[in-house]
Amino acid sequence: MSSKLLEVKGLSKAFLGIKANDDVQLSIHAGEVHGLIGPNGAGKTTAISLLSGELRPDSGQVFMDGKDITNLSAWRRIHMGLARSYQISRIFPDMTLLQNVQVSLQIAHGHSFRFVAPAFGSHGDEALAMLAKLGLEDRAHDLASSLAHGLRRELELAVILARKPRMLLLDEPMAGMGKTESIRITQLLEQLRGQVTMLLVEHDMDVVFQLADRISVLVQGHVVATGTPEDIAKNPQVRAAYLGGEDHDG
Amino acid sequence: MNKLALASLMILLGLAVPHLAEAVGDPFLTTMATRMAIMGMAVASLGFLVGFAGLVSFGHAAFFGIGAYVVAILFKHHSEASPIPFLPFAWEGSLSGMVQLPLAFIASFLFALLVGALSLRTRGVFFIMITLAFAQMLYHFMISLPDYGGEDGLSIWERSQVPGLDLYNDYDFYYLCFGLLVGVLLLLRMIIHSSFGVIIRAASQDEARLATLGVPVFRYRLLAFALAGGIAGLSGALAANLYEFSGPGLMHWSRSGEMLVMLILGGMGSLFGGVAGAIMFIGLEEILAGWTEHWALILGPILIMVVLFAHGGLMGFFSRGRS
Ligand SMILES: Nc1ncnc2c1ncn2[C@@H]1O[C@H](COP(=O)(O)OP(=O)(O)O)[C@@H](O)[C@H]1O
Ligand SMILES: [Mg+2]
Repeated sequence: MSSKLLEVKGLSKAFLGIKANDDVQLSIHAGEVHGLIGPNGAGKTTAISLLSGELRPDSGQVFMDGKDITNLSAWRRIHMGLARSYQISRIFPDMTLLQNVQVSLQIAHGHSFRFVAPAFGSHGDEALAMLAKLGLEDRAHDLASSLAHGLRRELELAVILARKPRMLLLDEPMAGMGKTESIRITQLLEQLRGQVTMLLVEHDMDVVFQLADRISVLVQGHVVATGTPEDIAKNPQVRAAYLGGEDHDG
Repeated sequence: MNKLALASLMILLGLAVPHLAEAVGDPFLTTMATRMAIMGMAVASLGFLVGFAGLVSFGHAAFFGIGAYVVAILFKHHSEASPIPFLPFAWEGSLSGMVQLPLAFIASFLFALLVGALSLRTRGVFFIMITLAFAQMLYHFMISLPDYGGEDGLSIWERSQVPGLDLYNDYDFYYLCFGLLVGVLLLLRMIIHSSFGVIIRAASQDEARLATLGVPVFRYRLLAFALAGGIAGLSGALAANLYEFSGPGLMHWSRSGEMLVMLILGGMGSLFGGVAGAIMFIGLEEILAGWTEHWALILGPILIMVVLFAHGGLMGFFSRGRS
């Protein structure tokens, strides 16, 4: 029985001749937290956009549940349960926090081609519960644009979790966060473990080595190693190319 | 003053216009108010696109013009008892407003679907340029049709026949335009707050986010674009009745620009902004043209002042004053 939720075969993408992703191979098992690490410009964000469907690969394939989704548009992929967050959080700035989550729930319930009933009359309680999960309920009626950086990230998580994804592509979810916020997100992701499969791109090595079941290392668009945190920490090729001899004992 | 009270006041004021005009002994004011209502409708539909859907269309006059031509062409064939040549079935047009006005809406809606399908893949300046290019293409196409008046356009000897109303009566005509304007504003308001409207607004705030939440943004935008086109067509049909004329000039890019100017004057943040802009623009034009034929030279600086000092247009100015 194959338990691969997401499989990537030979994915390549070049921008103006620069190979951002070069023959990337990845397989992500159902239920695991899969860390994706690599230096700046290694191609991590590009990989996520190729998986989410926002970028089309020059070559290679993406499979979800064994089905080839390489040519599926982004909006269809999330209906299969594939959601992403952005390195710079993306939310709807001119809506309140509550409305941001309500829009997401509205899309999840699939009734956006409706023209009469006021939209924000529905899903209010469900949206508030989702905000409460991230400790944002006090700010429910503030405009999303009024949020500080860290809280924006949390709102974005609330918005995508409202879609009840099976697979989360997280692009540096802790970047620019304070220590307490970072710990809260780590705990949240820990709670989601098992329910939601995750591909976690993160710069904070402590977080990655703590959360990830397996880690892949991307260097110059190429996956140079995949393995358990222990394997990765010991891998001489990885240490040379990336970790620079630093010690990471999980 | 809250929004409901303000809207009620505006409606009462709108209803009173012909009586006020009579009271001050200037019946021409009713005709001017009719023009304001007609343009207000077109600019409100543009405001729906620009202010809520985030789509800056520079070709809105094309849809307005199509609506006007629908009335003129249906009238022409009806009066000549000649079949309309480009239809797959034999039909000699109609004078009925119940036929002309819905058809004006539908024709503009369909043309907007076509323009939207080809332009909504682009963004920003490209979108502005492509909508402009389509409108100019249609403008030149109408000039090239001698059967429909070419450069000179088509005159209309008989206004639309609307049951219970006589469009040659200034009061009746005004109340028809005013009633349709109120109807259009209520419709747009309902749509903006509906599930569909929320998607349209979300798309203008972050399109990529909306797509990765599962929305085929293009389809929603296309429908919004076509709807705005249809409303502009209805407005054009009323204008054709008012001027008893339709011509390519109605579609010229300067007319699309004029609609954007009205929208900027009135403010894009609210649906009523477009109407306020049309009222202000036509009012200023009327007053200034009485002084000098170079009235546009005075309008220019006023526009710049509005952009610089009353960000959000007339409506923005008032709502700031209230809060
Ligand atoms: N849209 C783009 N256009 C041009 N070059 C890009 C684009 N996106 C990424 N790149 C380039 O591709 C490489 C990988 O970028 P990225 O995937 O953002 O790396 P990472 O997320 O690992 O820091 C970089 O050299 C970057 O400059
Ligand atoms: Mg990145």
